[in-house]
Amino acid sequence: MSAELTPGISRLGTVLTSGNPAWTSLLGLCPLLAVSTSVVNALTLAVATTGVLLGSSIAIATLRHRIPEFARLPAFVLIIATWTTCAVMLLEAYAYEIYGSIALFVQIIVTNCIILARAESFASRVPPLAAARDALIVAMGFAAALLLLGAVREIAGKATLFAGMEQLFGPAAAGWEITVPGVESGLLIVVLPPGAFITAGLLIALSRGIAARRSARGRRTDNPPDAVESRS
Amino acid sequence: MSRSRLTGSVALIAIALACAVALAVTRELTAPRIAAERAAAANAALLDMTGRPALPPEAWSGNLWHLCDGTALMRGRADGYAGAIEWLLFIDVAPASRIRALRVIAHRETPGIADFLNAPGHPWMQAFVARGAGEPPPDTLTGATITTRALGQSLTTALATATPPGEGECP
Repeated sequence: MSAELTPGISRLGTVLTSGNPAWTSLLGLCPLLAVSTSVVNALTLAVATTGVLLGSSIAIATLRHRIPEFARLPAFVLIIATWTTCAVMLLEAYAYEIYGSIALFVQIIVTNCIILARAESFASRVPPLAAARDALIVAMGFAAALLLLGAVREIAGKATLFAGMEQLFGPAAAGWEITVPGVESGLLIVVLPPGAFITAGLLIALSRGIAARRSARGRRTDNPPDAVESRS
Repeated sequence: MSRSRLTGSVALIAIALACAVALAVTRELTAPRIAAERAAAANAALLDMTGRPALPPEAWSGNLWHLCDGTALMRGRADGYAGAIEWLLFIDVAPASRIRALRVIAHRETPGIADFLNAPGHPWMQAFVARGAGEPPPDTLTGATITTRALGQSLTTALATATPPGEGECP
């Protein structure tokens, strides 16, 4: 808990690398694996999740003295579901094309355990401003995991990167697509569900590796960081 | 019921009401734009398929709309893997029905697996072009077997039912 109460730049760094909630506690796996087939899908879900997490955290923090203890989980789910439904409607109104391909997974943001976990363990105990800051940091960690997984799977599975960005950013983005030269088509398995688990497993291993290295370095506290750098 | 339970329940009901109001307001704000987006998407699909700048006034008779120049539009839905796949066809009706263009306008198939439904230029979607009534649909696609089989069968069945315009239908 103490680590959660010291938000800031260092917390953001941890969340983006070794302490990412998507990798360390494997929360939010369902949308993470289902939507990360391309960067444009991943980005849309990341934006929607950030909106829902931020809105719910602020609402729950504001109402924290009013929400009855015995019914706090139903109240949290009710608030999260409201924000999710609003996000679905806004997405259909303002990004119709992309809504058509990922609507199903935006709707199940409500079951994303990262959001419920933040509501229960943090947002319901602190003032709205602290809850908003925590929500933003956690959302950025989730977005980073989603985008990284989306990019790796799009490159390996479809041999493209940033394909279809015009669905989100208008016709100007049509030229953003990068194709891997010399490769006609990617590995189909990377786009299919088993590929999601394999890719996620490799990224979890990478995240754990960074965490292990960091804690090993942290133990040599008497050395200044520069000296450690030059010796290794 | 204890006093704290009662006040708690009242608070919960108040939260539920506030959520309902928030939903109603968002819906009220987005509904016109969503309806316009849906209509625009369907209209854009029709114009894109037929390659025309504008279409005559809508004249659906059932799922068939004769454009009275030997071509017609058809609409329908296939029973896909995760619900209905709504499609539009642009066809030649006389002398024998033949597909000129195909668009899928709404579906709930798995993202990433069935993304080709949104891409009219995808080889599998292009394989329908120039297919006549009575011809089998293109082969199913690995990974999207149910989706491709359902759409293929639905289109083949529909194409076989396309009839030339009746007496007085085309002045």
